[in-house]
Amino acid sequence: MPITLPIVKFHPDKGTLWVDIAYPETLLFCRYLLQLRDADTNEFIEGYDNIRGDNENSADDTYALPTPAYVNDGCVLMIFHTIMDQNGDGGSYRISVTIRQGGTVLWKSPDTKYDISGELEMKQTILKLEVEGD
Amino acid sequence: MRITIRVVASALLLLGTAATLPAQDIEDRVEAGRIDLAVPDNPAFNIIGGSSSEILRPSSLREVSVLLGDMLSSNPVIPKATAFEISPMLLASNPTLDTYAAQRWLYSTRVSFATSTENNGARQLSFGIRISLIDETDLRTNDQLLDAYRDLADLSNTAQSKCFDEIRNREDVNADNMPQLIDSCVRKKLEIQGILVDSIIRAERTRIRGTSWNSAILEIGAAGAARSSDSLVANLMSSAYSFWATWAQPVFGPHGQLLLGLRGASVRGADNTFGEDEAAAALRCYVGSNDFKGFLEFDFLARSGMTPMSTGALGIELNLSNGIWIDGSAGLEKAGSDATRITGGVNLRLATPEIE
Repeated sequence: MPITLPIVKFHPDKGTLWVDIAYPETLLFCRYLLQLRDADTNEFIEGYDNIRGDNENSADDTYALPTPAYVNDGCVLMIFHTIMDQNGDGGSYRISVTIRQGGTVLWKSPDTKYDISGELEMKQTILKLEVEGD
Repeated sequence: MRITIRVVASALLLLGTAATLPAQDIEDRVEAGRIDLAVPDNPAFNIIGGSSSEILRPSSLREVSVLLGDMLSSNPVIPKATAFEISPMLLASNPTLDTYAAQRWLYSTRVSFATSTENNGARQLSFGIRISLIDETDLRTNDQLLDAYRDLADLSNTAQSKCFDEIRNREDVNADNMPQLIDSCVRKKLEIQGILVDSIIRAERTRIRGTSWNSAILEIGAAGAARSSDSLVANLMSSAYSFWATWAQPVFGPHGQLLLGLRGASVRGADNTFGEDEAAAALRCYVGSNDFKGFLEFDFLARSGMTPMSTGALGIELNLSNGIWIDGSAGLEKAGSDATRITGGVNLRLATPEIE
């Protein structure tokens, strides 16, 4: 049985879908790759095949998904994270991913604290977006 | 990491503290070798004469440094000397990496407390603070290291995306084992390309440490001590003040470092007044690599009741292994109108070992 992805329900007419990525409470280096795939063709949505960022600079890691919102129906949002230890001391980290629409939080990643084991760790946030009522 | 500074600081602690040493000891020390003027690892412990052999150092800024000295000398329970050092901002908050980078000096500020009991029952209490205003050796925010990590993380993330595609429709995959499968798949993919991520990360860290030995540093520290002739707090009187400043700047590209150290101290004397003052400065220029370098230095020391003395020396410093250094120097020493004397010596220095 293929893997079942968590589903995020959204309203087709309540405005843009926003994705916030953050790595709170960690001094480890964390970097991500955000991608969005089309529901039917499995192809990447144009402009959403290679969005990268990290926690080194203070720029907001917030992204608007394609508009109008309903075009995201069935799309798969994938965020791949890599966490790395700069000085070999180890440390803990959290990953925070939030999906918002019209001031409402539709989905938030579990607030889990991880301890890095080794030099590098990988995590994934993979969600399916569906219009409410589908 | 602060390799040079740590080495010097350890040497200072090994030698003891000038603020609590009589003049003859200072003269002996100058004669024995160079005056080291880095901000000590624990200013509060330093000012009351703690030595590095009594120190248990924290492995990271977040940890509390607890120092216990002469624990079993006279009382099996109560330590004769205790000290600790903390970074209040790191303990009180959990900064993000960008916040830490923007206000590094704040998070690197460490405060220290120490107590000691003398053989005659007198007690000493001290408080110290040190601040790293500039520390370009900090790997957490080292641009070179983060650039290399960024490239590796991009490879890892791209490989994760490909691996997810490959495994998502497999019958044996569920939400629980997917992260493990992706991790294994990514490492295999990168290994095929000759990229052993863990080894590369370690090698890159070692390389950056080796090349950043001469990075810029500006650190200041201060400490104050109070002494009571007995165990009563009411009898505490201020007994000594010290300050330290260390500035280091790369010269000759990656091959040299200019290091300036300043120290001042004022100690309450036998007449119960503050009159035993001391000022010292050292300028040192290193040329070479982290493991082997030559140096040229000039020291100056002035102390109440003592003829100011200056020293110039040439020497070499060799890293024997992780945390163990040996140096040898020869030079000239001039004190007032006395004849110039030849000085020299070999010192073994212990520093906090670096994590490989």
